[in-house]
Amino acid sequence: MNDTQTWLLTQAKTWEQEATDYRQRAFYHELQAMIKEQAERLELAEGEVDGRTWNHEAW
Amino acid sequence: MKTLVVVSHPKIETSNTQQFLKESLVGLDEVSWYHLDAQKDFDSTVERERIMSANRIVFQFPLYWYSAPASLKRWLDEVWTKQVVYDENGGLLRGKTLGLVVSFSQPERDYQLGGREQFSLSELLTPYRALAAKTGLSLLAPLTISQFAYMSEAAQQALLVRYQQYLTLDHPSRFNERAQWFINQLRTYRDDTTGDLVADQLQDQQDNLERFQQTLAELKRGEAE
Repeated sequence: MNDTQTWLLTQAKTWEQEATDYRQRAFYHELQAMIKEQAERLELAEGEVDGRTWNHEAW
Repeated sequence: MKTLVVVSHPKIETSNTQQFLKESLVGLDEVSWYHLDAQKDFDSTVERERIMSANRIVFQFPLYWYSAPASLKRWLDEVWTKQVVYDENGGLLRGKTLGLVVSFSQPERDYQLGGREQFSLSELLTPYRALAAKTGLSLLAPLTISQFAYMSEAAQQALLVRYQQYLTLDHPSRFNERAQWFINQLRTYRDDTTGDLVADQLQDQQDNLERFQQTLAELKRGEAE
Protein backbone atom coordinates (compact mmCIF):
# COMPACT_ATOMS: atom_id res chain seq x y z
CA MET A 1 0.00 0.00 0.00
CA ASN A 2 1.46 3.39 -0.95
CA ASP A 3 1.45 6.58 1.16
CA THR A 4 -1.68 7.98 -0.47
CA GLN A 5 -3.62 4.78 0.16
CA THR A 6 -2.46 4.69 3.77
CA TRP A 7 -3.64 8.29 4.16
CA LEU A 8 -7.05 7.40 2.63
CA LEU A 9 -7.37 4.55 5.08
CA THR A 10 -6.47 6.72 8.07
CA GLN A 11 -9.00 9.32 6.98
CA ALA A 12 -11.79 6.77 6.64
CA LYS A 13 -10.95 5.38 10.06
CA THR A 14 -11.07 8.86 11.62
CA TRP A 15 -14.49 9.48 10.06
CA GLU A 16 -15.71 6.14 11.37
CA GLN A 17 -14.70 7.09 14.90
CA GLU A 18 -16.32 10.51 14.58
CA ALA A 19 -19.60 9.28 13.07
CA THR A 20 -22.59 9.37 15.38
CA ASP A 21 -25.08 7.85 12.95
CA TYR A 22 -24.96 4.03 12.83
CA ARG A 23 -25.40 3.84 9.05
CA GLN A 24 -22.60 6.33 8.44
CA ARG A 25 -20.31 4.51 10.85
CA ALA A 26 -20.96 1.29 8.94
CA PHE A 27 -20.29 3.12 5.68
CA TYR A 28 -16.89 4.40 6.81
CA HIS A 29 -16.00 1.01 8.22
CA GLU A 30 -16.74 -0.65 4.90
CA LEU A 31 -15.06 2.19 3.01
CA GLN A 32 -11.81 1.03 4.62
CA ALA A 33 -12.37 -2.48 3.26
CA MET A 34 -13.03 -0.99 -0.18
CA ILE A 35 -9.82 1.10 -0.03
CA LYS A 36 -7.80 -2.03 0.81
CA GLU A 37 -9.43 -4.06 -1.95
CA GLN A 38 -8.98 -1.29 -4.50
CA ALA A 39 -5.27 -1.01 -3.60
CA GLU A 40 -4.84 -4.77 -3.93
CA ARG A 41 -6.66 -4.92 -7.27
CA LEU A 42 -4.62 -2.01 -8.59
CA GLU A 43 -1.36 -3.70 -7.64
CA LEU A 44 -2.43 -7.00 -9.17
CA ALA A 45 -3.71 -5.40 -12.39
CA GLU A 46 -0.56 -3.30 -12.79
CA GLY A 47 1.61 -6.37 -12.20
CA GLU A 48 -0.35 -8.41 -14.70
CA VAL A 49 -0.10 -5.69 -17.37
CA ASP A 50 3.68 -5.57 -16.81
CA GLY A 51 3.93 -9.36 -16.91
CA ARG A 52 1.95 -9.73 -20.11
CA THR A 53 3.65 -6.80 -21.81
CA TRP A 54 7.05 -8.40 -21.15
CA ASN A 55 6.01 -11.94 -22.03
CA HIS A 56 8.59 -12.74 -24.71
CA GLU A 57 6.69 -15.85 -25.80
CA ALA A 58 3.94 -13.61 -27.02
CA TRP A 59 6.27 -11.32 -28.99
CA MET B 1 -33.46 2.42 -10.22
CA LYS B 2 -36.70 1.73 -8.35
CA THR B 3 -36.54 -1.28 -6.06
CA LEU B 4 -39.45 -3.05 -4.45
CA VAL B 5 -38.54 -5.10 -1.39
CA VAL B 6 -41.24 -7.70 -0.85
CA VAL B 7 -40.95 -8.97 2.70
CA SER B 8 -42.51 -12.22 3.78
CA HIS B 9 -42.33 -12.77 7.52
CA PRO B 10 -45.23 -13.68 9.82
CA LYS B 11 -43.58 -12.31 12.99
CA ILE B 12 -41.66 -9.36 11.68
CA GLU B 13 -41.85 -7.31 14.87
CA THR B 14 -39.82 -9.94 16.72
CA SER B 15 -37.27 -10.41 13.97
CA ASN B 16 -34.02 -8.54 14.67
CA THR B 17 -32.83 -9.38 11.16
CA GLN B 18 -35.83 -7.76 9.48
CA GLN B 19 -35.76 -4.72 11.79
CA PHE B 20 -32.07 -4.26 11.01
CA LEU B 21 -32.67 -4.51 7.28
CA LYS B 22 -35.55 -2.05 7.46
CA GLU B 23 -33.41 0.45 9.36
CA SER B 24 -30.70 0.06 6.72
CA LEU B 25 -33.04 1.56 4.12
CA VAL B 26 -33.46 4.96 5.74
CA GLY B 27 -32.47 7.59 3.18
CA LEU B 28 -32.79 5.29 0.15
CA ASP B 29 -35.59 7.14 -1.62
CA GLU B 30 -35.87 4.77 -4.57
CA VAL B 31 -36.45 1.70 -2.42
CA SER B 32 -39.88 0.76 -1.12
CA TRP B 33 -40.64 -1.78 1.58
CA TYR B 34 -43.74 -3.97 1.21
CA HIS B 35 -44.62 -6.36 4.03
CA LEU B 36 -46.92 -9.05 2.68
CA ASP B 37 -48.13 -10.37 6.04
CA ALA B 38 -49.53 -6.93 6.87
CA GLN B 39 -51.94 -7.13 3.88
CA LYS B 40 -55.39 -8.62 4.16
CA ASP B 41 -56.29 -8.84 0.50
CA PHE B 42 -54.54 -8.07 -2.72
CA ASP B 43 -56.14 -5.76 -5.26
CA SER B 44 -54.89 -7.09 -8.57
CA THR B 45 -54.72 -3.65 -10.25
CA VAL B 46 -52.77 -2.11 -7.38
CA GLU B 47 -50.44 -5.10 -7.14
CA ARG B 48 -49.83 -5.15 -10.87
CA GLU B 49 -48.92 -1.45 -10.78
CA ARG B 50 -46.64 -2.09 -7.82
CA ILE B 51 -44.74 -4.78 -9.73
CA MET B 52 -44.61 -2.89 -13.01
CA SER B 53 -43.31 0.34 -11.49
CA ALA B 54 -40.24 -1.42 -10.05
CA ASN B 55 -37.01 -2.08 -11.94
CA ARG B 56 -35.87 -4.56 -9.32
CA ILE B 57 -38.06 -6.84 -7.24
CA VAL B 58 -36.52 -8.42 -4.16
CA PHE B 59 -38.10 -11.31 -2.28
CA GLN B 60 -36.92 -11.10 1.30
CA PHE B 61 -37.69 -13.86 3.76
CA PRO B 62 -36.40 -16.25 6.41
CA LEU B 63 -36.07 -19.85 5.31
CA TYR B 64 -39.03 -21.84 6.66
CA TRP B 65 -38.78 -25.54 5.86
CA TYR B 66 -36.36 -24.78 3.02
CA SER B 67 -38.74 -22.30 1.41
CA ALA B 68 -40.37 -18.90 1.91
CA PRO B 69 -43.13 -18.36 4.49
CA ALA B 70 -46.69 -18.81 3.23
CA SER B 71 -47.41 -15.13 2.54
CA LEU B 72 -44.99 -15.00 -0.39
CA LYS B 73 -46.53 -18.08 -1.97
CA ARG B 74 -50.00 -16.62 -1.48
CA TRP B 75 -48.97 -13.33 -3.11
CA LEU B 76 -47.39 -15.14 -6.03
CA ASP B 77 -50.40 -17.45 -6.45
CA GLU B 78 -52.90 -14.61 -6.37
CA VAL B 79 -51.03 -11.81 -8.13
CA TRP B 80 -48.40 -13.31 -10.41
CA THR B 81 -50.85 -14.70 -12.90
CA LYS B 82 -51.01 -15.21 -16.64
CA GLN B 83 -51.51 -11.90 -18.50
CA VAL B 84 -49.95 -10.08 -15.52
CA VAL B 85 -46.43 -11.47 -15.41
CA TYR B 86 -46.38 -13.64 -18.55
CA ASP B 87 -48.51 -14.38 -21.58
CA GLU B 88 -48.39 -16.62 -24.63
CA ASN B 89 -45.50 -14.57 -26.03
CA GLY B 90 -43.31 -14.93 -22.94
CA GLY B 91 -42.43 -13.02 -19.81
CA LEU B 92 -43.92 -9.58 -19.21
CA LEU B 93 -41.25 -8.57 -16.69
CA ARG B 94 -38.37 -8.43 -19.17
CA GLY B 95 -35.80 -5.79 -18.36
CA LYS B 96 -36.35 -6.12 -14.62
CA THR B 97 -34.24 -8.03 -12.13
CA LEU B 98 -35.20 -10.36 -9.30
CA GLY B 99 -33.18 -10.45 -6.09
CA LEU B 100 -33.47 -12.80 -3.13
CA VAL B 101 -32.52 -11.85 0.42
CA VAL B 102 -32.69 -15.03 2.47
CA SER B 103 -31.93 -15.44 6.16
CA PHE B 104 -31.53 -18.62 8.18
CA SER B 105 -30.38 -19.71 11.60
CA GLN B 106 -27.80 -22.31 10.58
CA PRO B 107 -24.20 -21.69 9.56
CA GLU B 108 -23.85 -21.14 5.82
CA ARG B 109 -21.64 -24.25 5.53
CA ASP B 110 -24.64 -26.45 6.45
CA TYR B 111 -26.16 -25.68 3.07
CA GLN B 112 -23.92 -27.54 0.69
CA LEU B 113 -23.33 -31.00 -0.68
CA GLY B 114 -22.43 -33.19 2.26
CA GLY B 115 -23.41 -30.45 4.72
CA ARG B 116 -25.89 -30.97 7.56
CA GLU B 117 -28.84 -29.82 5.50
CA GLN B 118 -27.70 -31.90 2.49
CA PHE B 119 -28.77 -29.33 -0.09
CA SER B 120 -27.18 -26.11 -1.24
CA LEU B 121 -29.13 -22.88 -1.17
CA SER B 122 -28.90 -22.74 -4.96
CA GLU B 123 -30.75 -26.07 -5.11
CA LEU B 124 -33.37 -25.02 -2.59
CA LEU B 125 -34.00 -21.69 -4.30
CA THR B 126 -34.27 -23.20 -7.78
CA PRO B 127 -38.05 -22.55 -8.05
CA TYR B 128 -37.28 -18.82 -8.17
CA ARG B 129 -35.01 -19.46 -11.12
CA ALA B 130 -37.95 -21.09 -12.91
CA LEU B 131 -40.20 -18.18 -11.96
CA ALA B 132 -37.64 -15.66 -13.21
CA ALA B 133 -37.22 -17.54 -16.49
CA LYS B 134 -40.97 -17.72 -17.05
CA THR B 135 -41.59 -14.05 -16.35
CA GLY B 136 -38.52 -12.67 -18.11
CA LEU B 137 -36.81 -11.47 -14.94
CA SER B 138 -33.07 -11.58 -14.75
CA LEU B 139 -32.02 -13.31 -11.52
CA LEU B 140 -29.36 -11.91 -9.19
CA ALA B 141 -27.24 -14.15 -6.99
CA PRO B 142 -28.99 -14.26 -3.60
CA LEU B 143 -27.85 -12.22 -0.64
CA THR B 144 -27.76 -14.72 2.21
CA ILE B 145 -27.82 -13.84 5.91
CA SER B 146 -26.67 -16.61 8.18
CA GLN B 147 -27.06 -16.49 11.97
CA PHE B 148 -27.68 -12.76 12.26
CA ALA B 149 -27.91 -13.05 16.07
CA TYR B 150 -24.32 -14.22 16.29
CA MET B 151 -22.84 -11.65 13.91
CA SER B 152 -20.11 -9.34 15.17
CA GLU B 153 -20.65 -5.61 14.84
CA ALA B 154 -18.19 -5.54 11.95
CA ALA B 155 -20.12 -8.30 10.17
CA GLN B 156 -23.38 -6.39 10.68
CA GLN B 157 -21.80 -3.24 9.26
CA ALA B 158 -20.66 -5.20 6.22
CA LEU B 159 -24.16 -6.62 5.85
CA LEU B 160 -25.76 -3.17 6.02
CA VAL B 161 -23.59 -1.89 3.16
CA ARG B 162 -23.92 -5.08 1.10
CA TYR B 163 -27.69 -4.90 1.49
CA GLN B 164 -27.87 -1.26 0.38
CA GLN B 165 -25.73 -2.10 -2.64
CA TYR B 166 -27.78 -5.21 -3.40
CA LEU B 167 -30.91 -3.09 -3.64
CA THR B 168 -29.47 -0.23 -5.65
CA LEU B 169 -26.66 -1.40 -7.96
CA ASP B 170 -27.14 -2.94 -11.40
CA HIS B 171 -24.50 -5.60 -10.67
CA PRO B 172 -23.93 -5.64 -6.91
CA SER B 173 -21.27 -8.34 -7.13
CA ARG B 174 -18.98 -6.29 -9.39
CA PHE B 175 -16.19 -4.51 -7.58
CA ASN B 176 -16.09 -1.55 -9.95
CA GLU B 177 -19.75 -0.74 -9.35
CA ARG B 178 -19.35 -1.12 -5.60
CA ALA B 179 -16.28 1.14 -5.61
CA GLN B 180 -18.13 3.81 -7.59
CA TRP B 181 -21.01 3.55 -5.13
CA PHE B 182 -18.65 4.31 -2.23
CA ILE B 183 -17.21 7.33 -4.03
CA ASN B 184 -20.66 8.70 -4.85
CA GLN B 185 -21.93 8.13 -1.31
CA LEU B 186 -18.87 9.80 0.15
CA ARG B 187 -19.59 12.90 -1.93
CA THR B 188 -23.11 13.08 -0.53
CA TYR B 189 -21.96 12.51 3.07
CA ARG B 190 -19.15 15.08 3.12
CA ASP B 191 -18.98 18.58 1.74
CA ASP B 192 -15.61 19.55 3.26
CA THR B 193 -12.24 19.84 1.52
CA THR B 194 -10.87 16.60 2.96
CA GLY B 195 -13.97 14.77 1.81
CA ASP B 196 -13.49 16.11 -1.71
CA LEU B 197 -9.80 15.19 -1.68
CA VAL B 198 -10.49 11.62 -0.57
CA ALA B 199 -13.29 11.19 -3.10
CA ASP B 200 -11.12 12.61 -5.92
CA GLN B 201 -8.22 10.37 -4.97
CA LEU B 202 -10.41 7.27 -4.84
CA GLN B 203 -11.87 8.22 -8.21
CA ASP B 204 -8.38 8.60 -9.72
CA GLN B 205 -7.39 5.17 -8.44
CA GLN B 206 -10.61 3.67 -9.71
CA ASP B 207 -10.05 5.22 -13.16
CA ASN B 208 -6.51 3.81 -13.16
CA LEU B 209 -7.76 0.38 -12.19
CA GLU B 210 -10.32 0.38 -14.99
CA ARG B 211 -7.68 1.53 -17.48
CA PHE B 212 -5.46 -1.38 -16.45
CA GLN B 213 -8.39 -3.76 -16.79
CA GLN B 214 -9.07 -2.45 -20.27
CA THR B 215 -5.41 -2.78 -21.25
CA LEU B 216 -5.41 -6.35 -19.93
CA ALA B 217 -8.49 -7.20 -21.92
CA GLU B 218 -6.79 -5.86 -25.07
CA LEU B 219 -3.57 -7.75 -24.32
CA LYS B 220 -5.50 -10.99 -23.82
CA ARG B 221 -7.36 -10.47 -27.07
CA GLY B 222 -4.00 -9.90 -28.79
CA GLU B 223 -2.55 -13.09 -27.28
CA ALA B 224 -5.51 -15.13 -28.47
CA GLU B 225 -5.11 -14.01 -32.08
